[in-house]
Amino acid sequence: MLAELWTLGLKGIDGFKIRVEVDIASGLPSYAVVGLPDAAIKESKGRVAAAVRNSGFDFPVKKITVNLSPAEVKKTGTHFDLPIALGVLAASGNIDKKAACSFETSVFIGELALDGSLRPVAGVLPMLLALKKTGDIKAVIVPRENSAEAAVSGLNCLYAETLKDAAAWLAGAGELSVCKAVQFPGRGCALGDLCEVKNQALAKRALEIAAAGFHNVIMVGPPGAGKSMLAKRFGSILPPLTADEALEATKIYSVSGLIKSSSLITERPFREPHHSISDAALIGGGAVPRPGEVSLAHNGVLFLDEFTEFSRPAREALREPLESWQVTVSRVKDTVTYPARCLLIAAMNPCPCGYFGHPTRECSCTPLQIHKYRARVSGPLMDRIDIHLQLSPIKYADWEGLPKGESSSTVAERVAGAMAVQQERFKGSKTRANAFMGVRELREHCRLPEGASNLLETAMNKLGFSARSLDKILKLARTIADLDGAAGLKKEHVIETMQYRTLDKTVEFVSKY
Amino acid sequence: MTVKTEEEKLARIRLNFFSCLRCDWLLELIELYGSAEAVLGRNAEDLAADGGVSPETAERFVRETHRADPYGELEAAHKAGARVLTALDGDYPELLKKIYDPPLALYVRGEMPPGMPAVAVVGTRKPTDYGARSAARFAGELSRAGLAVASGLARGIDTAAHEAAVKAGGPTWAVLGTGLKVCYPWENRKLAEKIAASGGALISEFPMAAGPMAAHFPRRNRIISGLSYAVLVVEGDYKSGALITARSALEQGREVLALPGPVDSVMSRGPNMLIKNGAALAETALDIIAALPAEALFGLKTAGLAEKETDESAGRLKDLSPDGVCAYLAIKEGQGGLSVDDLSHKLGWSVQRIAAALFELETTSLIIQCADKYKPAL
Repeated sequence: MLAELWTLGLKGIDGFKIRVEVDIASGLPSYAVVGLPDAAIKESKGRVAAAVRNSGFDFPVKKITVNLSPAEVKKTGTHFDLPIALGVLAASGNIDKKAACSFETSVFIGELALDGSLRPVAGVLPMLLALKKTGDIKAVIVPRENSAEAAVSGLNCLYAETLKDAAAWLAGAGELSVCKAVQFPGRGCALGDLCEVKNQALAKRALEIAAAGFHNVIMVGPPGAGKSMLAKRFGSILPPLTADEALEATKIYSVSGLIKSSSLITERPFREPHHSISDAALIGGGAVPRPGEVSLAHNGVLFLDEFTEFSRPAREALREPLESWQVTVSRVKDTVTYPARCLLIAAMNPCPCGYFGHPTRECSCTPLQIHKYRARVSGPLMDRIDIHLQLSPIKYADWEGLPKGESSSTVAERVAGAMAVQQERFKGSKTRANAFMGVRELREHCRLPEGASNLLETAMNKLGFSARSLDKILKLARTIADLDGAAGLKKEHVIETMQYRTLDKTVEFVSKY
Repeated sequence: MTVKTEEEKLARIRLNFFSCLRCDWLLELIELYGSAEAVLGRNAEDLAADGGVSPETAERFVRETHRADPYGELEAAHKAGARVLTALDGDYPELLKKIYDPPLALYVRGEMPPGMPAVAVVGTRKPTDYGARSAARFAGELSRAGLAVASGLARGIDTAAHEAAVKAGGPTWAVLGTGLKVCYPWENRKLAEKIAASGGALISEFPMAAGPMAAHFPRRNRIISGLSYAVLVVEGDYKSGALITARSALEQGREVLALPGPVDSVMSRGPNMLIKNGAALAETALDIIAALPAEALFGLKTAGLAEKETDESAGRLKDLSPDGVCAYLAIKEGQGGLSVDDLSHKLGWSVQRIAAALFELETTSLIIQCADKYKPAL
């Protein structure tokens, strides 16, 4: 006897339909899964057999063959348990196939426990989103813990507690509950508000510019300067996630199995991996490719504290995602592409001992040590970072009587305004923000104001800026002008940018004492 | 130079290989035997007996001096654009000859005009703003008065003094604790080039390739003071190389002056102690010039040095915008430099307005950045 059902598989973060065919024939009792299953799928025999028996059915002592089609694509995951078990029940006559009309129009996802109950699986949402295009599926059955996530897909999703419930529904003898999504729209970021940061006017302004023009930031400062505090609040000045962005983020989190009780990622991601992370974990990879931290930070912030302590391969691997906003992971088994449009905020100490520029503590490093320490961040990587921010801890006396600053929402409004201006400017082009302007766009949109042409020359001669940093200066000035609502660059915009390129100054122009 | 003196010079360079850590006994032996060549001709027992050193030292001396390669030294010096001077050469500094243990050989790259009076400006490698600023001011004024500024090319005060002298267009002499082929500290290599190119000199008694050994530095300090008529100690703790220089200056009969500092500043403990013990207090360059012996005063230009520190940047302040002046005065008032935040707090301006003022001040070289803070330029 033969039974056929639908389930889903994942390639990268995109789903595709898989046909599960179960054949039961007389012969030597055996259980074989074909169609390039991974070890977890092959092991399903134990779970399926026990779950079937413990749900009150007989597990057929016959020759059972399970085929997963398309058979040439590798399949991974434990969510095949439910469709296989249902296929076994149908093929062995435990479910009346004639009474059940839902075989062709339903999709089944779920891992089985030995007692027959359903366990949650990773990647439900991205798999379901693949179904939205086809439209011939009327119902999706998922484990209860995945119900909120599944509901986001907008399909008719039902959740089952046990194999028995699912079998009863399939036979037309029982009802299943409908999945309900959690509320939307989402918030910006719950990690804190910018008004909680006292003083640091320059840093706040720099973050505003970074958010508006999608400029990556490097913060240099001794411990206690407020680097993490500022970075954590960066998400709060970005506009709230749009529905599409939330869906994208949720897909990535779902593939990584990071979706817990909530259904949808509604906050801008803030990822803060430890500096001992491997390059594969940062960028994405593994024998079976999985998204890395840059993808988990998609549409949000990737904060790398102690940037110089990250391994060189990990740091250098950032170059691709920072440039192309996506990561392609190539492995023997597969090549997948994950989106990775994240804004990098890197933080590092100013010197090996950490106290260069500290108001009270003495730095014990020589200029050579400081130079070598800073050179650990390679040129190509520094090229992708537009904003330099040097910070130092504020004194208690300053801290005490300070008024609260602007709240995040006020800043976020200005940021959204500047983003809208850029959207208009880059209509029909691949560029999405000022930070990504090419040479031609730079020339078109960043013309120096009258009488300011000598500004950059002065900056080069007197402050030691390189020709390369001049491009960055123009891009930043463009964003500042956008925040200002100005059509053309003004002199003060260009001058302000000099405060955000301070690491470009050559040694002779910086005090050694 | 005759053949005889040529050979004697080579012999002295040979001796110098061993003498760099102490040379008084060798000088005595040269006097006793009549020449450096004669010293090289003796065996270890004689040297130990006549020089008053242990037999082991004498044996090591014989071994090492015979291994030394004075021709190679001369060639290396020539390649690096340097000369090697011994007491036999006419341009060996007269003042240095007068000290108790003048170096047997002196490697010089650059110019040291005979009779050019010099004043040493020395101090800690980790100065405060006040120290660095004062060192630069004194060095600049001494330079303009026509004196050479001698120092040790170390970080901190030494660097500030050399830089100010170069900027003032006067000669400055850097006495190194390494051979001339080695640059230490590394970040001063450009400064070393500038010194050699601007009429100053790089000076060392150590063989060309000698590295920065800890024992070298106290030795080189005696040359700094030995080349100078007076030593100004700018900053330094009780145990500081600057105080070693001051002590050797006293031994050599040179003037010692000290820059007074706040009593609660660690870096001013050394100079304050010197003043307590009778060193002259230096308030302006004129104080230093007044302490020089008459022979050093010939041809000095002291006009204009009489005024106490007026705001020499006052002239430049005239051309600034009102915002620029306001920000400059705030930065000058602030201890240890001000960050953009400090300024916005103090002046109540927007970041943009501060940025404009800072840009103006920075491009006119009135202020300089250090980490996130801005300080008045030296």
